[in-house]
Amino acid sequence: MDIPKILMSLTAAVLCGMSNISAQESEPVLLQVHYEFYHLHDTLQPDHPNREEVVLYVGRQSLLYGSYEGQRIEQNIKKQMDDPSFDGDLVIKSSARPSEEFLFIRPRNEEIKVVYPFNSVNYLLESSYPHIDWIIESETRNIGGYQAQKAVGEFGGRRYTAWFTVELPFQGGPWKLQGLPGLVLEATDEAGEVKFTYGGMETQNLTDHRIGIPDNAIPTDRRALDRLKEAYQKNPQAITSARSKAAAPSGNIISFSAGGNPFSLSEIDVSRIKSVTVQKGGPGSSGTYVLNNPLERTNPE
Amino acid sequence: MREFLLFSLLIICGAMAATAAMTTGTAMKTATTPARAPISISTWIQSQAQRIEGVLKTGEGHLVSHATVLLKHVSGRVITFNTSDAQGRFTLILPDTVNRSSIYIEVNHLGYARVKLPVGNEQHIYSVVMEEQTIDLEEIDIKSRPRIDARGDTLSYDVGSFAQTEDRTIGEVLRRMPGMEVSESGQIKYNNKAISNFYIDGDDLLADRYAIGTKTIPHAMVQKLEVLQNHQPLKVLRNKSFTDQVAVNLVIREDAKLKMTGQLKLGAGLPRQYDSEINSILFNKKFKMLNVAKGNNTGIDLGSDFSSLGTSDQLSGIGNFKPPALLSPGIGGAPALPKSRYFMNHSGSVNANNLINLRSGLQLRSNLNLLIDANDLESVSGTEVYLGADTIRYTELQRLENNPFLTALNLTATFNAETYYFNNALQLNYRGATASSALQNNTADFEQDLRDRMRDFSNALEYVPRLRNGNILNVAWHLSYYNQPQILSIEEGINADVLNDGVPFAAVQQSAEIPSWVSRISLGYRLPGSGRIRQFYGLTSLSERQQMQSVLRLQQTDGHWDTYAESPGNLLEWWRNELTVAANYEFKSGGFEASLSLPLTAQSIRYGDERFELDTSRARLIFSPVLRTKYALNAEDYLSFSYGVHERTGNISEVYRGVVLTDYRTLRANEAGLRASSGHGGSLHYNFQRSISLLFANAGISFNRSMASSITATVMSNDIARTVLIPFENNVSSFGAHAGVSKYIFALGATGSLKGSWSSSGFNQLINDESLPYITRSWTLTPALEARFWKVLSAGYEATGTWTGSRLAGSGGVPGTGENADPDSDFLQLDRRIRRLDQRLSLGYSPLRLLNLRLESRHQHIHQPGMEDLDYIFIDLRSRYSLRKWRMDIDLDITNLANVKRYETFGITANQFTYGRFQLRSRMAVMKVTFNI
Repeated sequence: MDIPKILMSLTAAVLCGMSNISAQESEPVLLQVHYEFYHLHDTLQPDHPNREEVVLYVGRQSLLYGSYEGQRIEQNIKKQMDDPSFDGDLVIKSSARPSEEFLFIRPRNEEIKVVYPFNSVNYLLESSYPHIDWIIESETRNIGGYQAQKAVGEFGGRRYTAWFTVELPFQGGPWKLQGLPGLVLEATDEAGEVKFTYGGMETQNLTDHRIGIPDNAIPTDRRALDRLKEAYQKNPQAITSARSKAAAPSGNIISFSAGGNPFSLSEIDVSRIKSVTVQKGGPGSSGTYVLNNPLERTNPE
Repeated sequence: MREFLLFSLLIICGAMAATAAMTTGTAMKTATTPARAPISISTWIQSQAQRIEGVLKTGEGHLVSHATVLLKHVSGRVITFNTSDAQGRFTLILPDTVNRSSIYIEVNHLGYARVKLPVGNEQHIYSVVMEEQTIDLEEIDIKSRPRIDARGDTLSYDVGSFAQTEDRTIGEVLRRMPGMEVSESGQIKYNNKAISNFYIDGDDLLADRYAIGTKTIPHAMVQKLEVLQNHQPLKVLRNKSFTDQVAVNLVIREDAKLKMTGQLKLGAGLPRQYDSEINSILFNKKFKMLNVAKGNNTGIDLGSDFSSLGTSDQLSGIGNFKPPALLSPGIGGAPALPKSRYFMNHSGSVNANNLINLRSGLQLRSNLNLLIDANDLESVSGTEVYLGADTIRYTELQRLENNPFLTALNLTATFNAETYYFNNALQLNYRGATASSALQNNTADFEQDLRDRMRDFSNALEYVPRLRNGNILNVAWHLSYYNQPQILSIEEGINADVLNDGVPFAAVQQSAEIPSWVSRISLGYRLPGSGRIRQFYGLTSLSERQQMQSVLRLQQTDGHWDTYAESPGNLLEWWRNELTVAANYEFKSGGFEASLSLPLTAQSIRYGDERFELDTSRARLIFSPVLRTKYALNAEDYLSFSYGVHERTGNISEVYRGVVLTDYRTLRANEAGLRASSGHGGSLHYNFQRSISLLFANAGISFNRSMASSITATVMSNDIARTVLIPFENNVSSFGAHAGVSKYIFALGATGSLKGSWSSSGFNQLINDESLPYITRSWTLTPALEARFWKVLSAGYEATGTWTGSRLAGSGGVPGTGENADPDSDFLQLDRRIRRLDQRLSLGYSPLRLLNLRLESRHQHIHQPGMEDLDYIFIDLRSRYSLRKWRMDIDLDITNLANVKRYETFGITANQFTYGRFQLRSRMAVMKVTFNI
């Protein structure tokens, strides 16, 4: 885990959620649903799962799913800085390893696009739409004040139990768990290795949020992106010097830190920040990240 | 019986379909249901299926697609569901076990009111009328809001990943950061753009003289380096105006803030070298200081620590003209090598920077710079000036001893709040140099002394409040005084023919100065707006008062001083008043951005000198609009275009009438009125990038044309040149084109790049009554490659090839080969084209984690037809070993391994060919020990 990861996700969140997307191809956010995402990525370390706050933005026709760590950080930074007693020492709280990808979902078109921010550029990947055969069961439960009904379905090599509510006029679920007639508030896989837990929802303060694909997103494919990431790990300087010989990337503020990933913080007066302390989530977050138990165990493409 | 058979068939088909649905659900869905959503079948398998079909329409008959149709139990549970298709149709298949009286259909669609329908016992087809309804988010019942909390334990985050073990200062790490460039002068560029501010923990401690910071601040103190793009230093203007400035902020580590740190660097070497430094650093919230004292004789120019590196010097501003130095030593230029190769010096400097943030928000800062230096340079230079039928040539040999000094004090007080900005900056400079040289030219040996003393005072006051209506006012007053008195003394009366009617004399002394006062008051009004257009209107009043004084005196052999007989010297008064009204518009929409600036200036200039019965005044209206646009072709590529008209007016140094000996071989005076030039220029730039494959390219063209009303006319002989500015229409034009491509080669793990440029410029010269329109063309090509192997070895290569040629327009011939040309000249057959190749190779090797070795080599090749090729190879070896335990570093640098002591160079400017030979620093080895205290 490192700052750039968080901040990278922030970039995408900022870009996808608020700015830099053209009005024609985006729509306003009507609802935002928070989840806590749990993923046991390394079965050899069952005590060190990845935990993260994720968010689903719901619009009239589209959904945007991704890490909320970035916004949480931004809100947190703003809150700290708005405090008159702010002394310049900033504390950032973050999960161990925020998801890097953002999913842009259009159920009506059976379309999922993946926005992958990397090295200050947003890349756009096509992804296949999950067709999950949900079996609706009669069991119901109260989650966050809503009556939620059970449904069972298989996706990506895992059997999920999802709890959805039809009390609200929205449909959608976290990540790729789509296709139920209501809003998924909770989902767990059979083995208990993947969990999405309901964390509240909000309709307020969404006026400046829009769902859409960033204007500057560059279409590519997974293979090319993997090649780029690998090359970057091997020789970040050479890569970035190749880049720097061309024009400046867009954005307001860019920060270099470990790994050289820039991030963009809108409207934050960085000059007031004197120091940054990162509080990380979950034990084991300082170790190396091993992924032997991916979210999707079958190839999604 | 028939009914039974049909019924059985139905059951069989239903069961088959159900099995199919369980195993290959997708196939069934696409085959049997037109709509997408899958069907709940858990309770249905055991029983017979019943179909409910329907269509969704609005009152006007429009079909409603993408609606969620639920079959619900009265308890609220969903039994099954589907989605309406493009024709508004839906199909629900419900298990027969369901009691129809306890279920109902519910149709949900954002944008329509929710519809609930009872399920009739025999009804299978439903026509549902939907009522449009806008979503009212207020009505959505949010029963649980997100928790604002976060998990986690605390650990501090260390950002040091760019730093290599051999790095010590932030400047060294900065060079490794993507997009960053640090020039020899210490200037930082991000993506080819010079930074505007260098912040330390948000405070601009060093202002625009930040080179000392990059060279001194240990990178271990810095947690994070931030690049602030589109940076606006004034908080009140943030998000209120478009800016393309880039700034850098060093975020200091928490633990490094607590105490004062410092370093002691002691260095000594052979032959007889020293290089030492002591510094103290404290960066906390309230108080920041960076104080450095250092000295060396190893060729490091400490003066570079004090050069102003910012892009926009607030104090200089628009239209604020410092008169140029009138007198110069008149010696050929410096070699095309880093200064440390030929700088023979003894230098010492003190650099004290202190800043305090008071509780009230007031920030006080002081920067004090002191420098003393003694350096010398030995050189031989030759110049040939080609005229249509003649060649003027002179050679000079000089031994220069230069003693520059500098003292500068800057005091600023700033309030930088969200609602207003206030700044007062006071600058006091006193600096100078005494350059003594022993010169030998074509005919004489003599001693020349140039004494320079520069006094500079300026005060800038700026107040920028945000008004109640959200617009922003800008009030600024800038007052400055500048003077640079100079005295040029030459012993041995040279050029007696010209200066003293052929009578030999003892010495000549030229003194000159232009004291000047400038006051500028400006008022601006900014409408940030919320739409696509931002506006700014400004009113600026400038008044300038200058007085040029110069005297040329000769000392006769009997010891008494005479004023130069032909010309009494100058006492020229100058007044300039300007009133500028400016309107700036900024427009941004989608991928298109434009800014248009429309400044209109009413200018009035008056100048006069009683001795020459000169009293001229002129008024002029100047309009110089500038348009800049940028258009994004797609997410990665853009096209930018700019065009501007410029109108320029000459200055006091172009209107004085009395003769000035500007250097030992040039006499200068003017006959023309005030020079006015007007012109226009534009550029077009295309940027192409494919980030995913790491391919970046750009290309552009630019042009500039201007027409001036006067020209410098020169009458030259081998001993002296007389220069006069006379009225003459003079066109100057230049064209340029550049292109560059850079690619990361995945297979090699290396970056390769190639840049090329072409430029052509043409201008006119009047020499010995001949009009000589010259065209100079040059090409450059720069290939580069950098790679790293096995983590311990790194290699970099860069070369620059330059081809320069100059010719007389329209003749195609080579001047200097005319009939009257001296047939014995070495330069006679010279083709005036020069080819230059400069290659640099560096190899880094870190066999141990704490040991670093670096080999740097540079090869220069200069070729000119008819001359012997010149080749130089410089090799340096640097090594560093860290003793962690003792908090100590040991550096051993061996410079100029090949011991190259002499450097020769050729150069071409228009119709001049210059040759220079310089003495270089010989091989040296310096060992330096750094103690962290």
